[in-house]
Amino acid sequence: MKLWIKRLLAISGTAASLMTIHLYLCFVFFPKKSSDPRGHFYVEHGYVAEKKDTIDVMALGNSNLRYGFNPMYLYGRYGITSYNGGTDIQGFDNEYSQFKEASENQNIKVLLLETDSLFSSIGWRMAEDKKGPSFLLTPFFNHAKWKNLTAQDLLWPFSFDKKEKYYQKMKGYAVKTDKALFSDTRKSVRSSKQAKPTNRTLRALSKILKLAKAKKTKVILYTSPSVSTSDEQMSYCVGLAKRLSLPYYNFNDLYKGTSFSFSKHLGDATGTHCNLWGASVVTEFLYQQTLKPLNLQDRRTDLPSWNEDFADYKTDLAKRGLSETGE
Amino acid sequence: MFGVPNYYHLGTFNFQLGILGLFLTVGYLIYYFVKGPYKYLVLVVLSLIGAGLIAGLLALMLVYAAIVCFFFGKWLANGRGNFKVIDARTDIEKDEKMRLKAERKRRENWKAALAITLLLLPLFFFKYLGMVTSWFGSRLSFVLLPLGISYYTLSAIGYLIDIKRGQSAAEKNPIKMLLFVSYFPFLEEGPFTRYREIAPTLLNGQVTLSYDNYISGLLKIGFGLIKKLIIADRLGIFVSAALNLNNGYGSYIVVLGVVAFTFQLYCEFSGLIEVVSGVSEIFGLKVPLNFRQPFFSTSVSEFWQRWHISLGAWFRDYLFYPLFMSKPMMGLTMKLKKTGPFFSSFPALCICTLFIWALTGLWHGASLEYLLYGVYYGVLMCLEALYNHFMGKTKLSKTVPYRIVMGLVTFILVNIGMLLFKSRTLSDAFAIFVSMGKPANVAFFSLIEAPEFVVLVCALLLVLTVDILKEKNIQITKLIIEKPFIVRDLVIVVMVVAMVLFGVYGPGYAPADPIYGGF
Amino acid sequence: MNEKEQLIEVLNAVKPGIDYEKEQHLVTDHILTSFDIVMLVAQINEAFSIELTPLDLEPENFDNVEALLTLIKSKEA
Repeated sequence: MKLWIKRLLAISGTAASLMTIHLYLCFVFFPKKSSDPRGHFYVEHGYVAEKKDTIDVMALGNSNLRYGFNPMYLYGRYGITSYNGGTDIQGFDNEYSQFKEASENQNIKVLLLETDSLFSSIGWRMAEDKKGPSFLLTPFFNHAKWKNLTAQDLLWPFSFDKKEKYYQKMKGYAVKTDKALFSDTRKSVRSSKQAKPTNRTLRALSKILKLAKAKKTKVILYTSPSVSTSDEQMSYCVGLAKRLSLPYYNFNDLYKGTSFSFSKHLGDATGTHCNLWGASVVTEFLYQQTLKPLNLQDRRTDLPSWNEDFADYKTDLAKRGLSETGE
Repeated sequence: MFGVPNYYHLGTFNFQLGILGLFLTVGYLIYYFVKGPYKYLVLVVLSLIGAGLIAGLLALMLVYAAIVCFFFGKWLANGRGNFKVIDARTDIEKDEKMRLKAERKRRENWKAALAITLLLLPLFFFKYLGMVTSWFGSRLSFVLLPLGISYYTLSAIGYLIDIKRGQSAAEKNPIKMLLFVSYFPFLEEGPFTRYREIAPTLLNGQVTLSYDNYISGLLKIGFGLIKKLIIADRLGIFVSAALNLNNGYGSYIVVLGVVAFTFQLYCEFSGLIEVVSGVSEIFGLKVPLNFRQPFFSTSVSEFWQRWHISLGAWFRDYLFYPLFMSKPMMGLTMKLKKTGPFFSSFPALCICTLFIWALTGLWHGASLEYLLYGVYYGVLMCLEALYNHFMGKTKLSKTVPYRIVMGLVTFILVNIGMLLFKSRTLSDAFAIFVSMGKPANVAFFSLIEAPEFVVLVCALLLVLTVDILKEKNIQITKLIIEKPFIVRDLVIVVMVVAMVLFGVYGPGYAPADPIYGGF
Repeated sequence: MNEKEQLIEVLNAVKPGIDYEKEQHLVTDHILTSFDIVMLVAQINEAFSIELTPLDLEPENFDNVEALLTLIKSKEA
């Protein structure tokens, strides 16, 4: 055989073996549950695994919301089903796609929109990243999982069950148990870099409102506890709510009527993420102010899976020596 | 399908890596098809693009150095020619010839001194100004340090000295001069090159581009990356935890931390040099050896013959030899004639060694700590010379157990040196040393997970095996190339998969910057 | 004593224990260190009344006794 043919075959052979192994690694490392690297996508979209017409309340926003609203608290006390779609570094484009996707299978009666994500502008790269873990680049992004691979992962790296990946017992909420040190009363912040949403954000917001109207979903704006939200931003929200005829609840004003304390209920140094106890106070507040008047159905009699999830949640808290309202 | 999302996208890091690969491949193809004498044009364009992308300032500094080298090179070569003219003259006596030559020599020395000063100026401003001004009051320093300035400056100085000595011809082509200074793979971590060694291949395109070189180059790149990504960066995580004084660890954890740092530096530096070698080999260029299994040394002087070889060689050929053979030093040696061959040379040896090593230390960094790092080795080498003078006569020094013990002693001394190198201040180094006597305060496996440790040990054993084979002069890349295709395929595939799986990068690991790169 | 014997005597005085007749790669096999070489230079200068310069310290010139003799002879001229 001619030498150059031999060499061409050799190069092709090596390339083919590399590509085959790459494909195999893509399957092995592609996140299969939310605890896998890059598996947080499943947490943010966990509503797809819920049975039809289960979720009555949906909350959308960024990490302020993710740590600041506890659906299990709500369900345990009042039987109201909700999903926390809060995502770190969120933009309104993504919130629209979340709402749209959820509305396909769910009859969402109330949509809570946290306002901090109004003032973010995420770049196109981050927006692309939000669309989900990339299959072909998985070995590069998720290879840290090699330490935790099981025989099952290696021998049958396929997962067909959507529910197995997406189903979230905690309904999208993430627990923090630390206490960050801030002063008890909130100090006012005059101004901030981004005092107005971008046009892109406003366009996405109007798409959400249009869809909400079509689905007969009630939209409520609210601002979660934060040491960095500025007066400028909050007065913008007041004006926006007025213009759109939407109810608006600013926790940074209204917390004084609750048991919320900025020195006890924040979970990290950002000053915008609640811990478990802060989330309980905020969720209770949201129930009393926005959900109770709507007389939503108590679903505890017809959702055995949620009852199971709630029982697991209670057991888990007990195991860790935590309680929702204890400090 | 199998739970696969409908869309995928390009992550930016992989995108940039892909662009780099494409860029190099296209560059290589052009290089391949261009005629030999013109190949240097491709290389200089690639190098300047690379330098420019890193910093415009860097490209500017390279051009500056090339200009100085080009003009002074020609000037010194002309001066060199004058010596022959004087010798050939028939109208004057020998004494007159000697006088004229001595005068000419003085002039050449001044020219060289001026050129060297011009080359050292940027190095001084960017690297040492801060240190010097801090002695006199407030510290004034530039934040930026052009990549590789410590490397190409010394290579350029070597070029000029070689011309002055008549060992090299001057480069007549300014673009080739620029390429000599700016050849991109050498900028990050060296090695230092001699003009006359590298000119035929790098500048004059006398290369053979063969398939075997291509495979061999790829193997070297792969092995070098394994050393850096799998071993060095992984050790780095352990080292920064173990040697962090705020953590308050002690005992064997700190000892292991220092040893781990030594191996980290070795794997990173030699690994990156291997990548440089591999890339250059693909382009048909041979890179001088920079590491020769340094941990097999039985003395500190031997260690510095095997570690960062091109650095030691540069300081030896351009500073140590001329200094020792200068009139004052030789005069001192002659005065002590009566004490015998060793002791007559010993004082001059010590003075030269300490001076050279102080400078070597300073080359590593602009601070008193680095100077002391150099002097530490200088003192050790003088003591060693004395020790070996007595031990060398005995039969014991030739035996294997003795050499093993000396190997261990050398390793310990080198690790102490590495501790000096790593610590920001002397008090830090001392504190770390003291903490070796305190209790550990932490379990080993809480600083490094067991699976990571296993990977580390396996990779280190691989490096050890390769080093042993190299010590026995077995050419591993040649060995692999000669085997049938399936073996080559297996080696390459295993290397790539190992790098992807076990490399320290991406989510779950923190990024790591090269240690010898900030020079 | 001829020059070769004189040279070997000098070599042994600086670095004993090596068979200088046989060894062909004193420098390239790392048998002589740079310390050895400079000490050798001082002794050779003295013994043969020549003046070596740094230029002469090429590995080729010091690799074996024959090469050294050639160097010395060229300097004596």
